[in-house]
Amino acid sequence: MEDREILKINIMMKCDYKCEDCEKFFECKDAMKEKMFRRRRMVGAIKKMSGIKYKVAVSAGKGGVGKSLLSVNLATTLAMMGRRVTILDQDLDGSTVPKMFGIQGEKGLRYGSKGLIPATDNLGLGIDVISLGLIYPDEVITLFHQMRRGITEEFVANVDYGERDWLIIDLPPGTSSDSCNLLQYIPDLDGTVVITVSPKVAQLAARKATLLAAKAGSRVLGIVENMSGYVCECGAIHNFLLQGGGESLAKELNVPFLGRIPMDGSLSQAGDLGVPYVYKYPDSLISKKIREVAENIEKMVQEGKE
Amino acid sequence: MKNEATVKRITVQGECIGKCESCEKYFDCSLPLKETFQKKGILRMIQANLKGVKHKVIVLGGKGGVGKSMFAVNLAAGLVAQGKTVCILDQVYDCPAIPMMTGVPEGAKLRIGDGGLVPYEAYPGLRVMSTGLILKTTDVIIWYHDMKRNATEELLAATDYGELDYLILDIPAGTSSETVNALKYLPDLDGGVVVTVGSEVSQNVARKCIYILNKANIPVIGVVENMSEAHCSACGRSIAPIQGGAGKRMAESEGVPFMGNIPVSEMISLSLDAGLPFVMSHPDSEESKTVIATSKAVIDFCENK
Repeated sequence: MEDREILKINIMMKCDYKCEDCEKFFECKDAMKEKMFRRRRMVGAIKKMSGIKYKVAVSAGKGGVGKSLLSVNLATTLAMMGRRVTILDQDLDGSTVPKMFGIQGEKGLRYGSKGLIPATDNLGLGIDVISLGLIYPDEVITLFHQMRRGITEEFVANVDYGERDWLIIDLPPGTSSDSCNLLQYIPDLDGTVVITVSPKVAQLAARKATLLAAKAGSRVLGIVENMSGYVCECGAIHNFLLQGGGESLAKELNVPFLGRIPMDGSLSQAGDLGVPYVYKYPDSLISKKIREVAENIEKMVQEGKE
Repeated sequence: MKNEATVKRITVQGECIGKCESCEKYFDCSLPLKETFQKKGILRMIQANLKGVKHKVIVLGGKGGVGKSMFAVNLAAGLVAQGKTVCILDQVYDCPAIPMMTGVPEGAKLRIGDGGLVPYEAYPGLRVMSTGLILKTTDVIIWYHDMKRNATEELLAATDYGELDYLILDIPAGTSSETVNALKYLPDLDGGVVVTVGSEVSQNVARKCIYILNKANIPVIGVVENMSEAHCSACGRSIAPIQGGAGKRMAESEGVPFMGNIPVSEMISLSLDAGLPFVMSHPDSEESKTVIATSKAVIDFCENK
């Protein structure tokens, strides 16, 4: 048997001016791109989001590393710092943000005269939540690419965002469909925070998420290393998911390292109870770490605006 | 405020346009057109190509990072330990990790032979088929739905699997694109194993996996709970970074078998980075015991139905 090596995967390269559907969107230099794209709903997104000061996405590439956890706690921390915050849950198959705020199945999205009206948290923090989980709390709906884009369009271009200080966007795992849709629709994102865990196998995805953000022209605000060490009551430290991987990836890619968040059983418990961890335990070490991240990225985006 | 109404659903275009391969309603559909689709073309080709494969099992989780790939690799190793020949089909296209987890050297290339693509033999009896064998770790390719479907078709219909006891499919997080593609193209899957972690938040998605298997008429072999309680090596206290037990409760409430807990463990992280499945390197550990028991249950399920 004569074997041959497969060198690359062929992708159709001919342009059909369906920019919203194009895998090469971020590489494209065609002058028609902006024109074609703006004509569609992107212009609506820009208008609806004009009252938001800072827009930041939380990305990871990999699943289950704590994107939603960081998004929810970052949003809560910022709200506790007196900011007006909206959180957009872009995870369409596995939206967990409503559950983490304890409003799943309890609150929904409403239609108003200026578009969809977000649900608000139960804690009086004034955090607005937009999520597919507020429309479909338990059903399985199979969503393919076009539908996913439709929902993303709806969430960016037809929501009554109002005047906000922050929009935190919780991206789903993967570096294709939903992540790209969102990055396409919000070209003026103020930055992306990448969260990862330490093992090398996790960096495969985190590296791609960071490169994708850079490809899409978004500033990478930095990398957070989650699940970094677990301290037993007796003082012994267990590195179940190892340590230091996030920091070395930040070095490799020359982006800021934003810090480590250790593992703690009460983190997942808070998520299950529907009360954000930083609200429940404001003085714990983890809450302080998350506050540091919040303050850091606020400084960065403010400097970026100047 | 006036003019308000709660958003109850998202409207989906309901008319049939005859494209079964990209239809969201595939599993709900009973139109005669679907039967034609199943009898002709790609499904037929896949079926013919997989005729040497005795059993096909899918590992899914819905949620990301619960240990699907880790479990797929070690389940495969567990099956190999029982004397089976196994191939893992990595359906993760954004960041395929199976080659690294099975110690395939970086730079190893996928080859094509007379019978199609040739899976890489990572260990005796354990083969790997993955787009990670084609792409570099720094390549960011944006895959949209049709491309993913094409890749899935290619990997199923144009790979030379040869004679295999088990084909293990590892699919990415989510319950749409890749999941539905796999279930659609392999209507004769023996069953699915759902991997989850112990928190309640994760069960929403894990439950969706069970529903989607039901919808596709594929049996649920069982639920495995990963990253469960472990014991401190210094003082023996129980430690649970993820407050647990919800996986077991979910399995009970859905009426499907619960297959066991895999404790959270540094050894697992290290074994994945080293590319040597822990079932091979630490066959007597508690972690391996659960996985080996699961692989025996899978054999029992598939071969003694």
